Amino acid sequence: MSFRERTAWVMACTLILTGGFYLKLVIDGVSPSSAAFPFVIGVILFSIAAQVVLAAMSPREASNPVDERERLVMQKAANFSSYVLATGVIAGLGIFMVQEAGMQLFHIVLVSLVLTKIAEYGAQIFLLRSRI
Amino acid sequence: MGKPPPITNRVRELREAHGQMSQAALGDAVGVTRHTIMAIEQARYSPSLETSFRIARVFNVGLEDVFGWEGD
Repeated sequence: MSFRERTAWVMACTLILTGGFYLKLVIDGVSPSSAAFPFVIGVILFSIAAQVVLAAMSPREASNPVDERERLVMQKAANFSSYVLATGVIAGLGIFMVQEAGMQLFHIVLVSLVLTKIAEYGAQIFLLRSRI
Repeated sequence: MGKPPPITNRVRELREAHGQMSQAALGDAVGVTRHTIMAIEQARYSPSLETSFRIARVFNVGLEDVFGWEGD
């Protein structure tokens, strides 16, 4: 498994765990600011720790710049995930127009952002293993 | 996974003919990762023109000695 694929796996798992924790807090009725703060801190700390561990495990690969195939994979994955974000934002705005609930819009947009990144890392993993 | 590309290559064959050069060594020589060399050999990725020329130059052969066109 390449360094980029390991990074994508770790980041996707980090976002699933922290995003799941955020959703649990929201369902439990915690206020948005109280739920978003530990989520953001958790993502930052988990990401930094994971990147440090991955770089320590394969320092040579970690220091290599992204090559042409990896760049193409990242561009295609970002393009795919942009549709996830657009869908989430449009759904959030549609619901806001009907219910006029600002907090709900906040949650939908934040969850859409998390799902977008998970979709992006998932697409990277798929494309790194596929014919492109 | 889609249709295989019509471009064939002899990268593995040339690498083995050059003193069993490793995928990592070829990758370092042309500026891509070992996994990209692996993908090229398995016809999962068609390299850019620049990388194709770099690969040919590593083996001191012409571009068409490394890459071929299969089909119409």
